[in-house]
This record gives sequence, structure tokens and C-alpha cells, in this order.
Amino acid sequence: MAVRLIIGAAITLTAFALAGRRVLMLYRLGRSMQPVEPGRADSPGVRLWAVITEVFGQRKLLRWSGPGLAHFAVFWGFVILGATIVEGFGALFDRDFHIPLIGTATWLGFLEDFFICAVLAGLAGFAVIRLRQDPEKAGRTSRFFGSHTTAAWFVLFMIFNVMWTLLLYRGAQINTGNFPFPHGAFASQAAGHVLHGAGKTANDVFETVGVLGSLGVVLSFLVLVVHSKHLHIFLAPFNVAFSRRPRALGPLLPVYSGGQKVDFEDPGEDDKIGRGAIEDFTWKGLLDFATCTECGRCQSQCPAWNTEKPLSPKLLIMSLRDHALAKAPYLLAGSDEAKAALETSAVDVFQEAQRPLVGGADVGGVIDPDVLWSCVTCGACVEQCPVDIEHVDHIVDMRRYQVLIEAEFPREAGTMLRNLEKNGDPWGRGAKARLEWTAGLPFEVRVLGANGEERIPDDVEYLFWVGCAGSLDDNAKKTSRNVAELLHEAGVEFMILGSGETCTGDAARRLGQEFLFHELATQNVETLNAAGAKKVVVTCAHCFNTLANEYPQLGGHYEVVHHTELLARLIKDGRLRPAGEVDVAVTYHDPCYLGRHNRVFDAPRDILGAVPGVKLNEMPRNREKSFCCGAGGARMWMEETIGTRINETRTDEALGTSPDLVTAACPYCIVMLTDGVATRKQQGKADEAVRVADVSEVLLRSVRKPEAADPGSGADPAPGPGAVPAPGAAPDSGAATTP
Amino acid sequence: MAKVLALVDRDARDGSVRRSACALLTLARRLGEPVAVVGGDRPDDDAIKTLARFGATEIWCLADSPAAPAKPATPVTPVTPAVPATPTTPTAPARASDADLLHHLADRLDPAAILIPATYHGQETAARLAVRLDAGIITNAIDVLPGTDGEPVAIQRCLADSYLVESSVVRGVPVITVRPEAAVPEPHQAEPVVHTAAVEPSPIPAPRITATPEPPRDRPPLDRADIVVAGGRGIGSRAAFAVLAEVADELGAAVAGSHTAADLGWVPREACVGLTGKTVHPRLYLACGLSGSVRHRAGMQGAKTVVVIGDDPAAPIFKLADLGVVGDAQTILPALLAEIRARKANDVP
Repeated sequence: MAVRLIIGAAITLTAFALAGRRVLMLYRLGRSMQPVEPGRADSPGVRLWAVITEVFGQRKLLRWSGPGLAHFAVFWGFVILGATIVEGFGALFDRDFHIPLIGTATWLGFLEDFFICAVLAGLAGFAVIRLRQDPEKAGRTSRFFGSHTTAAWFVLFMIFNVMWTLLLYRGAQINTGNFPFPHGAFASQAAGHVLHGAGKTANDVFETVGVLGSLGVVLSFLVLVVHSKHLHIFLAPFNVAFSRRPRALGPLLPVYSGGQKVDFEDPGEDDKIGRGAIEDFTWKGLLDFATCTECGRCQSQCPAWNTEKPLSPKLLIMSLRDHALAKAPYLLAGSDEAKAALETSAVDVFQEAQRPLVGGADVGGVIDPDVLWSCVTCGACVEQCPVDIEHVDHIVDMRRYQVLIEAEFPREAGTMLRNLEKNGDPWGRGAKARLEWTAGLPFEVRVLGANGEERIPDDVEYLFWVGCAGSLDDNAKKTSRNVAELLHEAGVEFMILGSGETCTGDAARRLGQEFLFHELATQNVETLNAAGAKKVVVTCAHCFNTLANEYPQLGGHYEVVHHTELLARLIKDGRLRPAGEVDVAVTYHDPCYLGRHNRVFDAPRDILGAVPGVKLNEMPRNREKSFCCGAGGARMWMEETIGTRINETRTDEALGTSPDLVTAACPYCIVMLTDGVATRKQQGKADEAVRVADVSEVLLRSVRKPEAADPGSGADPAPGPGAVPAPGAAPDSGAATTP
Repeated sequence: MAKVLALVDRDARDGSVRRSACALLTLARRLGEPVAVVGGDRPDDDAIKTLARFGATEIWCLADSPAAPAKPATPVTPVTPAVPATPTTPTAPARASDADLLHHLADRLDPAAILIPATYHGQETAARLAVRLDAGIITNAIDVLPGTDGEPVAIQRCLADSYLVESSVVRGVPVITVRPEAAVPEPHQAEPVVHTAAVEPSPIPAPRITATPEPPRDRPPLDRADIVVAGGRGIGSRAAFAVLAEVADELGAAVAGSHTAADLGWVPREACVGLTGKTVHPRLYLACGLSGSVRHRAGMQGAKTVVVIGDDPAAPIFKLADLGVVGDAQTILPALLAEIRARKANDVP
């Protein structure tokens, strides 16, 4: 017994010393980062629930059934088998130890043994997954490409060691009469049965070796974990608890420096704008990096990675983590002298500290500019991440520094920024052009201020925010007209701002030009507040996100609905009656900023479902897993020169459903898919009749009187007066049909 | 009055003073006594006259530099030389660089500022000089003015030219590079004294220009062309685009493509007109087989006259057209080409 105790104590102290040193370093590193923005600990109930569902319930992991179940088994194995560690330590002192009160209960014995088996099954599952997805063979298509696979295999091996040593000493304990559980521990009994033949002495040895081996493996695993990607075992609950709730999508956070919002009217001298070095990240950022388990679920979904671009959210987070850890001694060096001394005493560390955060291979940058600028901010990575890492926020924060401090961004986006600045729209058409889309509508669209009013009159229910694309892009103009006609038909009074609108600033903000966003957004909030806007309807998913989620940051609080939501409600209320048959096969593309970022998945489908004759065939990647069109994250305003095209990849997926009509609910998506379809037509890979249109077009075709509608034809209502068929009913009769 | 050094940029072939040097002297005059610094070969009389006309009070050049080679009696014809001119023979012994000369003069003359044209060579020189002088540097200035205490204040554009930034250097002799096209030279006759300085070449290796190739002059550059012929997806193929290019050549026009045409590889990326490409302001824009999406329009809405050839009269480009031809560009362009050639043939004086 004494030998057991001495060896056990020695192993334990060594492991705790090694692990403790590392944990202390990580803690000090975390403390050296910037403070987080306020609100990271708000609503503790919500945060607790997030930990319960995502950590203990494994909610996000279980979205992928196979790997999810395997992880569920191993996770709960670790929790339940914590009891065996207590039993193991107890056995160092008392061979016949059992946990007080519950320590001999049949259910506990069964539970422990059940999870030993479940973990072993989980490990087998993991091994199969890793062999199937071997990056050596599968290359970039493997979600483990770029992950530390050797370390991962070693971890699996270590867990396996924990399990067999457990079975060894528990089986031996049965044979030596020291096992706490008379019943229930079926696997241990089986092991005892096997070991029985070896005799009493051998089983005594097995027991001692097994106990010490098991503890040794567990403790060396502890040391391994705090030095590896497996830190997630301890960090994931904290990372989930301090994550943005309900998810790090939708609005971007304002620019914070030192935990305070930066005042763009008068920024402080020492304010940090964005992230220009690893130490500019907050401790939550570091927690994100350290929690990454390199599972690659993000990578498997990323539109950039899937079109051969250098960006993988996983590799980005790993690069930041590896850099932070390699630079840590420099960051933790107390004084400037101590930092300078590293130049001779720790050359590697010093050189790591000199690397720019963003830069090409020539300057040894941590993140390549091509990586940074490939992101479409679609949020597929954030959606998937089982430990709630906030990839998009980190990317935009690094862009902010690049744009605002370094003035380094893809040159071709410069014209867009200049146009936003000078003309208030990306294409430089100017405020006057914003009313062009209304020409030829069979009714007058009310414009705020046209009759001298300063505020939206009481009889107007919605302010229709048309947006730059809706006013100026030819396809999106059609959508604006469709929506205006449908609202008119349903008797919904609406008004537009006309030349009083400017860009919401989304494109500037996603590019990292926060200053310009701030300028445009402030102006719009002033306009909207002065007009007394309460309910706003928008057709652009990007405007929608900005108006609904980001303007509250600047004092603009409105009830914002997307046109698909409003139209779906009008159908449900019977104010719109899609009576005419529209005999088309359609597929629907979920815009990222409507779907993933704002959870509007059903409304567009409800509209399509309400139209008689429409056959909706879903693409393989839909709803939460929708694949971006390629235009988000200000990529709309940049050239896509690396890899294959995101929009063509998505177009191929859409064409795979053999549609007559590819529908979407965002002007950016429609531009990108229209381009993709045109390219495929030119290559002879798409039927000439296939078209791309907003969901509202299908509804309008059905709502118009059957004889006025043109079912099945791909023809567009040609613009211009007279070409637009009169709406099915006069405006007042539309109201009269309201129940 | 303090001296202000201005590095003189000269044509690599004939040694004539570039416009930027005159502009830098003009800016230098606002700050103090303009001193022209001429590296490389010694300036000839014409060069000295030019520098005098724009106000140089002193001209400094290298003591060991040979006199400029005698210029041919007639002006050099703008014919591409078969072998690119080499200003220095590769075997010549190492000579003091512009940075060496400026470093020497900065120590000797204690100037108020050093102005350098923001060319590739100038930026290189300025960077080396600032390090050697342990002085602050401002690059790509578009203007330089005296501040309230007479210190030089440089103005830069930033964030895609949407902001102007005023900066001044707080340590050492301000080294400022100025965009060569930014300032307007104003003549101001002076009587310069020509000095020479014996400068040891620095042991730090500096890049040397070994050849300056003549740029191809087949077509006018897109952003300055009077006539632009542009094609889009409707042109149909790369082969058909060649016909469009022939039309452009007959008109002396630049060739451009829509975003799509560039994506399809029919025109180089630099020839893409639109929001993410070039912005053009030609007198005539001949748009063929393109729809005129709002992003293409963003690059050409400054065109004076727009002529459109396209098969879809509902395409938005027709709304911009002064003259629209509805039809397939693939059949109309060859006909147009034949017509232009026929008229040119009949047009013999």
C-alpha cells in the first residue's frame, strides 16, 4: 500500500505542477489581452441554459448524428467516469475504498461500466471517421485538412488507455475482493472473469498496476490537454458561457477599445481601432482561439474553402492561436527591456513577435491578406461551431484595422467606398435616381415630403425602405415594383423616403470601413427618427440586418420586417390571395443575412407553398446550412480571382434541382445567381428558359387575375408604362376582400 | 532662409528634366530656397536652364560624374529602340546613389526639408535616406505647405482618396515624397550656382536601373482614351472579341470589357470597366453585347456619347444610349469593320 501511495502521490504532484504551470501561463496571457465589451456576462440564465444545452446536451454536435453521438458518448463518459477517478485516488489510501453513500449502488456500477463501453464505442467511431476523412488521402475536402492529426490520434490512444486500465484494475479488484460494486458493473465483471484464471497474486499486481496506470494515464492526459488543442475539455463551457447569445451572427459589434465603445466623432489618441496585433484581441478572443478543437466543421461549410480559396475558418483560428502562444513569452515579459532581451535569449519568440498580424508570405504575416479578404461573412462557420467561436467578428475586426489604420484593402473596392461617400450608393448614381423604379406603376407611390409632410402620416402603416439595389439595380428594381404592387393590392399603406435614403452602410461595415458606416448610419437614423418611422419593410437582406440589428446601436429602434415575412403574413391573413396557378418548378436559395443571420427560413417558403402550381425542390444545402452566393462580406464589391467561383458553385447546386425558376429573397443573391445562370447557359450547361427571380415575383404572378397572369411563361413584365398588367383588383377592392 | 532640397527626376534616355522636378522646385519655393539635386550624370545646359526657370538657386551634382553625352542635333524620334537604353554601363565602378548624394547634402547644407518624387526609384531613395538621417518620412504627398511655424506640412490622400490628411515630421529633416502628377509647376526665373560634391558611394548595395523599356503604344490607355469600344457577354466568344478589337484599332480606340468579359478571360482584368474596374470618361463609348448592369454603368456613366449594339432592346444599356442598334453584335461588328475600312479607303486625300 505504501508503494502505491508514494508512486501515486509522486505522479499526481508532478502532473499538477506541470499542468499548473501551463494553466498559470495561459491565465496570465488571458489577463494581458484587452478587456471585453460590456454585456458578456449579462442574462446569466440564458448563459446557463446555453451551457446546459450546448455542453451537457451537446446540441450543436448532435446536428451531425454520427460524430455527434460518438462525442456525446465520450463527453458523458468523462463526466460519469469522474467517479472512477475519485475511486482510483481513494484506492491509493484504502484498497477497499468506495465513494460514501452512493459508492456501492448498483446503478452507479452499471453507469460507470456502461460509459466505459460507450466511450470505447465512441473511440471506434472517431477512428472510423478519421480514417475515412484522412486528409492525406482526401486533401482539402477533408474537414481535418490542416488539423494536428497526429495529436488527435494520440489523444484517442490516451483515452483508450484510460479505459483499458480502468477495466484492468476493476476486474482485478473483483478477483481480490476490493471492488465497490457487488452488482451492475457488467464490463468489470467480464474483465474479472477473464483475469480470474491468473490467480490471486497476479490479480493483486494487476490491481495495483491498473490503479497506478489508470491514474498515471489520466494525469498525463491532463498535462497533455493543457498543452494541446484538447484544452476545449476545460474551456468549452466558459467559451459557450461568455459567447454572444443567441449567436454571434446578425449585427456586428461596434468598435471597442479597452472595453469602451470608440467614439467615432472624436476618437481617443490611444484607442485601438480593430485588431492590428494579437494582443489587440480581447481575452474572449484568446479564449476562442484556445478552445478551438480543430474539428473542421466550419471548414467543411465554408464557401471560401469549398471554392479553393485559402481561407478556412479553422486554419485562421489555429494560426491566431499558434501565434498567440508562440508570442506569449514576449507579451508576458514585464518591461520593454525584458522584451528587448528576448532578441538574444529567445530568438524564436522575438522573431514571432515581429510578425505582422496581417501580411503576405513575403513579410511573414500571421494571416495572409487573401485569407482575410476571402470571407463572405456568411456565418456558416459560426453556425456550425460546437464551442461558439466567433469567427466573423474576428475577421471583421482585423479588416477594420487594415482599412482604417493601414488603408490596405482590395483596391477595386475603393470606387464603391468613394461612391458611398459622395453619392450615398455603391454605384454612384446619386439620390435623384432613387425614384426611377416607381415609373410606370399603375398607382402613385407616396414619397415622404412630396406633399410637404415632415413626418410619416398616421394612415401610413409601413415605411418601405427600398435600398440602393432596390432603387438602382435592374433586377432588384423589379422586386421593388413587385412588392409595391403586392402591398398596394393588399391595401397596405406604405411610403418611401425617395431621395432621402442613403446606403445603410452594410457594405462599408463588412469591409471594415466602420467610420463610413458610422457616418451613413447616423444620417439614416436621423432621417428615420425625424420621420417618426415605426414599422419598416425592406427587400434587401443586408439592409434588413443593418436596420433591424445594427441601428439600435446608434439609437434607431424600429420594427423591421423583410418583405417575405410581411407578404407571408398578408397571405395568412387573407389580404393577398394567390389564386392563379403558376406552373413552375422552383428552388429557393436562403440568403445568409436573411436565413442564418436572422432566422427567417419559413416565410419565403410559406409564400411559395401558398401559390398553386408551384413545385418547390430544395437544394441539398438549405436553411441553416445554406451555401452563400458569394456576395456577402462586401465580396459583392471585390473581384473573385482565386479558386472557382462561389456563385457558380451555388448555381450548379440550384440547377441540380431542375428548376424553371431559381428564387431568392435578396438583391445580392439575385445578382450573383443571375450571373451564374448566364454563365452556365453560355456553356450550354443550363436550359435557356431558366430564370432567377425574387420570391415576390411568383406571388405577384399568382395574385394577378388568372386571365391577366401569364402562367408558366418565363417572360418578364417588360418595364415601362402600359407593359405592366393592371393589378387584379382595384386598390379599394383589395382592401374590401380583407375579412 | 533655409534651403529645401528637391531631387530631380530625369528621363532615363535623354537626360531631360521631368515635369515632376519643376513641380518639386515650385513646392520647395514655398518652404525656403529651392536647391536642385541631380544624381547620376552631370546635367547638360538644357537641364540647367530648365531648373533655373523653375527657381533653383543652387544645383548640386556629383563631382565624379561624367559630363552628359552630346545630344543628337535633332530631337530623338519616339521610336522604340531595338535595345533599351542603359543609363549606366553594368561594368562601371560603383557610383554614389541619389540617397548617398542627398545624405551628404543634408549633412552639409542643413536643409529645412527634402522633397523627392514618389516614383518607384524615389520612394526607394527616400526610405533609405530617412533611415540614414534617422528622420521622419511622409510618402505620396499631393501637396506641401508651410505650417504655422514655417514647418513643412504634407498633405496625403487616404482611404481610397476620400480623406485628406495633413502631417508634419517631428524628428530630423523631413523627407517627403510627392506624387509626380500632383503639383503644378510655376516658372520663377533664378540664377543658379552649380556645385559639385565628392561623395563616396555607400557600401550598402542599392538597386540600379539597368534598362527602361519603352511602353507599348499600340492603343491609347483605357482611362485616357477618347474612344472606348467595350464588349460583354453578348460578344459570344474570344474569337468574336478579336473582331471588336479590330474595330477599336480602326477607330484608334481603347478596348474594354464588362466585368463578365473579364471573368470569361476575353479581356485582361485591367481592361474591365465598371465598379470594380476602371472608370472611363471617353467622348465616344461603343458598347457591344453588354446589358449595362448598374455595376458596369458605374464605370462609364461619364461617357459623352454612348452608342449601343445589342440584341435585347429591353437591356438597361439602351436607356443610356444616344444611338442604339438592335441586333446581334457578332454580325454587326464585322459589318461595321468592313464599312469603316471601306470609308477609310475612299477617304484618301
